[in-house]
Order: sequence, then structure tokens, then C-alpha cells
Amino acid sequence: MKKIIALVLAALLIIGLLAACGGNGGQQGGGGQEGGGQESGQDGGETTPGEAAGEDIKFAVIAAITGNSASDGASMKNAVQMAVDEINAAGGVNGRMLVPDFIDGGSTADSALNVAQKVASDGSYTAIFGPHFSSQILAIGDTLSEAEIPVITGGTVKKVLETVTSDWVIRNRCPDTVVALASAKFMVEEMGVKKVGIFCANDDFGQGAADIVKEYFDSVGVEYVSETFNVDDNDVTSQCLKLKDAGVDSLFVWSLGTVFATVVRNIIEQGLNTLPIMASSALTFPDIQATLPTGWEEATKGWYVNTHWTTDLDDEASKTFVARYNELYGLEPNMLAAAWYSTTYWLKDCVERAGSTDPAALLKAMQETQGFETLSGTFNYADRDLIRQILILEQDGTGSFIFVQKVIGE
Amino acid sequence: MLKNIAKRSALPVILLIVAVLFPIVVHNNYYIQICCTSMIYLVAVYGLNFITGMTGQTNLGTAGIFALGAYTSALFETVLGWNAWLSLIPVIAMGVIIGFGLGFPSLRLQGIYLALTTIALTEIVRKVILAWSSLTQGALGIKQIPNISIFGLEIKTTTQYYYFALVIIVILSIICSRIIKGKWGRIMIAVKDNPEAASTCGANIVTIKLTAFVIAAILGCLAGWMFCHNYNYVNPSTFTMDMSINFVIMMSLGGAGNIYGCMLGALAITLLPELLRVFGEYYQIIYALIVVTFAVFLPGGITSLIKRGIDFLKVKLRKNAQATK
Amino acid sequence: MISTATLVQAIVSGIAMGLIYSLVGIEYTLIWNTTGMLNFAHGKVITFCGYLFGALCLKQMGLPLVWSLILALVLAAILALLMSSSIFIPLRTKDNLCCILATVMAGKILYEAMRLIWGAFNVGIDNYFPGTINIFGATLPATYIYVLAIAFVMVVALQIFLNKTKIGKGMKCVSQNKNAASLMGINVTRYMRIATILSFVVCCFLSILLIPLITLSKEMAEMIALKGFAAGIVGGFGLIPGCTVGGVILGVVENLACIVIPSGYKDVVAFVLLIGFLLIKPSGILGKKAK
Repeated sequence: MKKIIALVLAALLIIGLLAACGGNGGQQGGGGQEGGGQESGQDGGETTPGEAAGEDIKFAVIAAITGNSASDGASMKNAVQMAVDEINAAGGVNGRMLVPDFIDGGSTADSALNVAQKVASDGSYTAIFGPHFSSQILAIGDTLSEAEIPVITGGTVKKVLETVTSDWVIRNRCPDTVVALASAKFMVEEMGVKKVGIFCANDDFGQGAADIVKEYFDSVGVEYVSETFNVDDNDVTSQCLKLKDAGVDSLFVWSLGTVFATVVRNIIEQGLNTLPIMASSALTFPDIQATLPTGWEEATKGWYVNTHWTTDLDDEASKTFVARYNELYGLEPNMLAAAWYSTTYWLKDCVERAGSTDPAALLKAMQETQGFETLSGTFNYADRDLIRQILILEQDGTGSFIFVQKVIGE
Repeated sequence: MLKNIAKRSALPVILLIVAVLFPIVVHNNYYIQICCTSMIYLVAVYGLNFITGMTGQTNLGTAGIFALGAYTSALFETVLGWNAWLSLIPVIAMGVIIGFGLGFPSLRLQGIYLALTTIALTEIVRKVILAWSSLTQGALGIKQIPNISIFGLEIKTTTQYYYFALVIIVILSIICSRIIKGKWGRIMIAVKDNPEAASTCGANIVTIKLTAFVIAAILGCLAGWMFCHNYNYVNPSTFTMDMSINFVIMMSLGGAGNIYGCMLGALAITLLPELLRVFGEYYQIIYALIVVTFAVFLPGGITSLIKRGIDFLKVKLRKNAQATK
Repeated sequence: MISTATLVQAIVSGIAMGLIYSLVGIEYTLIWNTTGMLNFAHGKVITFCGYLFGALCLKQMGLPLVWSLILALVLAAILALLMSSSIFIPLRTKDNLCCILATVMAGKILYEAMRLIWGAFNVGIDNYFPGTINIFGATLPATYIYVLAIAFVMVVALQIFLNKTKIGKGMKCVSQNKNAASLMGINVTRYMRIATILSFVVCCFLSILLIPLITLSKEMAEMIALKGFAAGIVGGFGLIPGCTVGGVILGVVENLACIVIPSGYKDVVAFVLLIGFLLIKPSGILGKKAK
């Protein structure tokens, strides 16, 4: 008797599960019953999203909505949404409306794993935006590329370049190999440093840059001392002290996010802020600037930064972008937002050039991108990179950044 | 007698049939992957069940054990070039080491102190993996871990992995079920409920606790081994205290101490956040609310609810049977 | 290689940070002693109070400092009543695992609530304790004066409260033996509520001290909260003077260790100390040998 009831309950549970699966599975093109010839389970890639005129162009946006990197996810989401609304208001793409599907990829490598198959096997997407972080694209880049639709990522550390090699995965920011190298070169050639304090975060972003920079310094015979910090550190005073004691004459500060403010604060407290310093783009982010100690503008005067874009760029497009974003979201955009805003407009351009959303045609149009002007610079596709240039700017003591140099990588 | 055997194995057989048919019926890679992930976590939950569900030792360090298993396997394969099956040896060895490493302190520490120790261990493991980048490649993680091959057949696609994991789960379920229902299992529960009474009855507390920890650690490391071959990538950001807590939730929600509880918990907790995605931004907070409600109102887990329901129906049916006589 | 200036700075900074750990130890010890539960959500509670004080009172409502403090304390007390009624009191008889799960999940709810209410971006708060101070040649943010002051006041006030006032003595009774206390007619749940309110008041003060030191972000107090556990274990779990001693020792050892080992391992020090003490002297430095 007991067993029969247990059986019934178990059966109900299973039916419930299957129903849930069936309910969502029905969304995609027929549930993929046309197996024949395909590897079992390699579903969704073959169906082409609606070609009929006027049908919406759906694309997935894997953003970090929850977790430690929620602010970056918010920037990405805000920027894409703003661009989509503008494009749709202006008539869409050849009359077809863009429909972004924002999916939370979380902030860790495994939260990305959960969404990878969800997005890859959906079958109704024209393209995938994200994930933005290198660790996440390393985790799911291969899975996403099995969907055989373009994947645009912001993950640009050297390891991504070397190991995520599918042609479907395109990077929308300058590879760290170029950025870090350009910054290091600038330090040696323009700033004339002799003993650098390499001060990088212990995350994918910081570590990737540290490796490149150390290699370069070794090759030109410049001494360096390396210190790291964790992204959840509250205090980096010990590291600052060690750098002080080592007698470094300059700093290479590479970090993003919350900890960047802590690092700047401690550098100022320990009196290291007057050294020649090359910092990552975080110093230009308005949301990070808001959390820097009062008087940071004066304290970080003369610091150099490398970035694609800042709110200080005075071209018309940037000014309009900043004003609109501020109006919509109540804060100023950062480089990340600018990059993804540009990427959305670029997607529109590619669909128009391809004449359809057929994946192969779309990819070809993307690979043929040359001279596409965006906020963050000119997109020229080369070897799965959309852009290989970076700006070096100097903080002028009032919180504004003035242009110093534009570096174009090979 | 055959009828008895049939009755007892009805549920597992039905579950097995459903499990085998699942990828054939449901072609969606997304749901097959969720099942794969559930099965990987289930291996770790089986282990946790032995320590916490049955022997009553609070263990919040499963993520650390999982991480060590995954990284051992990843390093032996990428650095030394061993294949997946060969790297099982160091993985299991690591499990034994951790088992003893955690087991001995557990003899002296109880309850909350053991919980804190295990939390501390998870954090140490994660931070060391992050900081020792010359060995572990730190925050960039280890990529291009080779696939598992069985007699030349490489396990590449999600569906292939699903069946591979299913075989492992079936084997482990049978083994664990035997242990739980057998002598060891009963002694473990005795140790949890009343250690003094158990030792008076001749049970060697030390051996039991150590055994439980070693089994749990081996299973945890095995789960890590399976994990790193699923996506061929490991990254320290995965192995946080949140993950440890998730394992505990899986075990508790399903129902500690029994195999079906673990299965239910692993599947439900892996599936639940995904199903809740329809709520957009609110899905994490709703998930937390659901778990808190279960923890407060149903500490015995869902299987305890089912058991109560079954017993209630049993009593009722018996009463009816008596009434009609 | 290592200058004396660095050594002095490390020790002074260590003591300063250690006082923060001590305060963390105090706030969870208050709840631990009366309810027997460890509030694993305390990091998120501290951060939530920080958001209440900084984002809500200071920024959104534009209140001056003292009024913001008062309002934040009131709100923290309300939160304390909510949490104690829904989690600490109903679960106090259940087993360990249940309590841990419930408090961790409560923390997660607070975390998500912060993101949903105040957005994903960190909040910039103008430093209300500006400037730096110089102690024996070491530079510290001026905030640490207030840290020292508040820590001192807290420890003294709590000692007086627990030993001299009626409510305090009642709480002490509940801590020592719940059954005996309730048999003596003491309303145990009432004292649990009071203890929670006190704990959250300390959390509120902690958050006010942390905001000038650390950016107001959702993860602000995560590591500090975990290290607070280590502080308690090192100094004597369940003892308020123990937390103070443990916290300071932890802070100094952390900083000194960082001079010799690579900085990436700094956080590991706290946890190694925790495990070490638990294995060798579980009662901590000030604790008496139990059992």
C-alpha cells in the first residue's frame, strides 16, 4: 500500500517536472524533433529566427544582474536598453524591432554555466551579448559558440584570446594584451620609470594584465615589485607599505569595482599618490568616482588612465549619450555602458548590411566591419576583435581627463 | 517473495526508467544540463548526508572539498597530462586526506564550532587557490580540461554526459542506500541522536565519525572530479560559502538521511532558481524566502512531509478496512 | 628591508582594524549568549544598517548626521524585532543546521533587498570624519578615533548594563541557563528580543564607522563579519572582553603576517588562527577550559 502511494506521488512529481520542461521547451522551434544527423542534444542552432518582414529581432543579453558585479551588469543592461529604445523609436532595423532578452548570468563562473545552455539551446536568438567578464566567457564561450550565432563578449584577457577560439565569439573591447602593453610602454617611454610597483587585483582582469606587463618590463630591463589584493579586501595598507619600503618610483594600478576605491584611498593615505601612476579605466567611471574619498581629484592629479571612453570626450555623440543616459537613469554612464551602447548600434548596422538575420550572413557582415564609428572608437574587425585601440588620458586635478595619446595595437 | 522484491524496487526502477527516457523525450539541452548539474551536486550531497544528515556533524565546508577534488583532477590532467580515469586516483586520495583532516577535529569540536571550522576551511581553500596563481592560474581558472573517454568514446555532448553521470548516480545510490540501511547507517544515526548511548552500546564513536568524514570527503572530491569535466573549466569564484550552504539546503530540503531526499533536494534546488527566473530581478529574493520558509516550517524536508502523508493515509485506510470488517 | 616605520604602521593599523573586529564580535556574542544561535546574517545586517544610515538618511532624506544616526538606530531596532520574532525565537529549539540555514537565508534576503531598494551601484557618501591622525608616526584615517571611542564606550557600557541593571542581569541569567531563568519567571523571549536589539544597535554603529573607511557597497561587511568569528574564537567565544582581545590580536597578527607572506594570503591568516585556536585552545585566550 505504502509503495503504491509512493509510486503515485513520484509519478506526479515526474509528470510535474516534465510538464515544466515541456512548457518551456515548446518555446523554441518545435522542440527540435528533427534529430536526424545531428549529435543528440545539439539543438537549436539550426533553426533560423523569423525572417519574415516585420518580425522582431530577439537577442540575448547575459548581464550580471545579481552578485558582486551587479553594478557592471546594471551598466550593461541600461546601455543596451537605451540603445534598443532609440533604435526602435527610429523605426527599428529595416522595420524590425529589436527585442533584448536580459538574462542574469550572475557574477561567478558557475552562475554563468547555468545560463549557458539556456541561451545556447533557445534557438530564437539572433545574437548573444555577453557575458562581459573574462572568467565567465572562459567558462561558457565554447558552449555558447555551439549555438552557432554571434556571441559578443567584453572578456578580453589574454587567456580568452588564446583559448576561446571559435569564430562566433567576437570581442567588443580592446584586448588586454594591447591595453596593458600600451600602458606599460607608456610608463617606460613617456613616464620614464625605473622601478614599477605593480599593484593588481587578484581577479581575471588584474592577473591577466599583470602577466603581460611583467613580461614587457622583463624584456626592456625595468625593475618591478608586484603586490596583489583581493576584490573583497577592505584595506590594502600592508601592500602599500611593502611597495613604499621597496622604493618603487611609480605604480601600475589595475583593478575595477568596489576595491578600486579602497586602493585609491589607501594609496592617498600612505602618501604614494604623488608618484607617477598608471591606473586602469576605473578612475574614469562616474559610479566609482562617487565612492572615492573627498578631494580625490586633487589627490590623484597627474594620474594616467587607459580607457576607451570617458564622459569628458567632447564629441557630439558622446555628449548626447551622457545627457540622455543621465536623464534616463539618474547617473552618468561609464566606459562599459558606452561600449555596450555602441555594440547595440553596431548589431543594427550588421543586420542591415547582411540583409537578414541568418547567422552565417550576419557573421560575415560582422567580420567585414571596417570603419564603423562608435563612442568607444572605430570598430575594425580583425581576428575576432572589434577594436584594437586605447586612449591614454591624464587626470588634470579637477576630475576631468585630458587626452594624451591614442595607441593602436597591431 | 518476488512480490516483495517487486514492491521494494518499484520506485527506483520507475525513477530509473524516467531518467533514462528523459533526454530522449525532452530534447532541450538546457534541461538536460540542469539534470547533469543536479547529478554532480547529488554526489556531493550524498557525502554531506553521511556527515550531517546521519552522523549529525555540522559540515559547511562541502564547497571546499568539492574545490579540492576539482582542482586536483584539473591540475593532474592539464599539468601532468594524465587522463581523467587516472586522475581519479589522486582525487580519491585527496578525499581520504581531507576526510581524516576534517574527521580528527570533529572528534573534539561540536556543533557551531565545527561549523565555523568548516567555513574557515572553505575560505582558506578558495583564497589559497586564488593566491597561488603560479600553480592554479588563480582567478583565470584552469581551462581545456580534457573530456572523459570511455573505451575511446569521448564524452563531449550534454546528453552523453547525462548518461555517464546517470550511471555513476545509480551505482552510488545503490552503495549509499546499502550503507544507510545497513549496520553503519544505524550506528551513524545513533551517534547523531545520542552519542553517549551509542558508545555504551559498543559503537566506536571515533571510527564512525572518521568513516563518515572519509566517505563524505571522497564523495565530495568525486563530485568535483565530475564537475570539472562537465564544462572543462574550473574557477575559484565558484567555490564559495554560498555553494556550501546550497549543498546543505539540498540535503535539508529534500530530507536528511535518505537517498530520495537527497535526490529530490539536489534536483529541486538546482531547478528552482531557474524556474523562478520568470520573476526577473526578484528571483533570488523569492528563492531565499522559499528556502527560509522550508527551513523554519519543514525542517525535516519534503520527504518527511511525504512520509507523514503516507503514514496518515495508511492509518486512514487501515481504519476504513477495520470499519468495513 | 622592513623599516620600523612600516612595522609601527602595521601594528597601529592592525590595532585599529582589530577594534572593528572586536565590535563585530560583541554584536554576535550578544545574540549567541541569549539565544544560543549564531547570526550568520550579521555581515548583511551591518551593511543594511549602513544603507539605512548612509543611503536613506544621509543622502535621500538629507538629514544631518546626528538625526540620521538616531533614525538609523530606530530602524535597526525595528529590524531586530522583525528578525528575532521570525527567526531567532521560533528556531531556538531546533537543531544547529536549521538555525544556520535560516540566518544565512535571512542574510541573503537582506542582500537582495539592498540591491532592489538602492540599486546595483555603490553609494558615495561624503566622509563625515575627514582627515588623518598620526600615532607614533603611523598614519590613520581620523575615523579610527571614533572607532576607539565607540569600542571603549560599548565595552564599558555593556559591562555596566549586564552587571548592574535589572534588564542586564536578566539577560545574563538567560545566557547562563535558559531553563533555570524561565523557571524563575524570567520572560526568556523578551530578553532575546532585547539582546537582538542591542546587537543590531552595535551593528548600526559599526556601519557608521565602516562607511568612511570602506566604500558603501553590498559586500561591505562580508569579510569583516567572517573575521569577527575568528576574533571571538581567538579571544574567548561568548565573552565580551574576549572579543575585544581577540579582535585586536587578529588585526595585528594579520598585518604583521602580511609583511612576510605574499599579500594575497592576508585573509587566510584569520581563518588559520580560527582553526588553530579551535584545535589547540577552543576556549580562546580569555576563556576558561570548558567541560
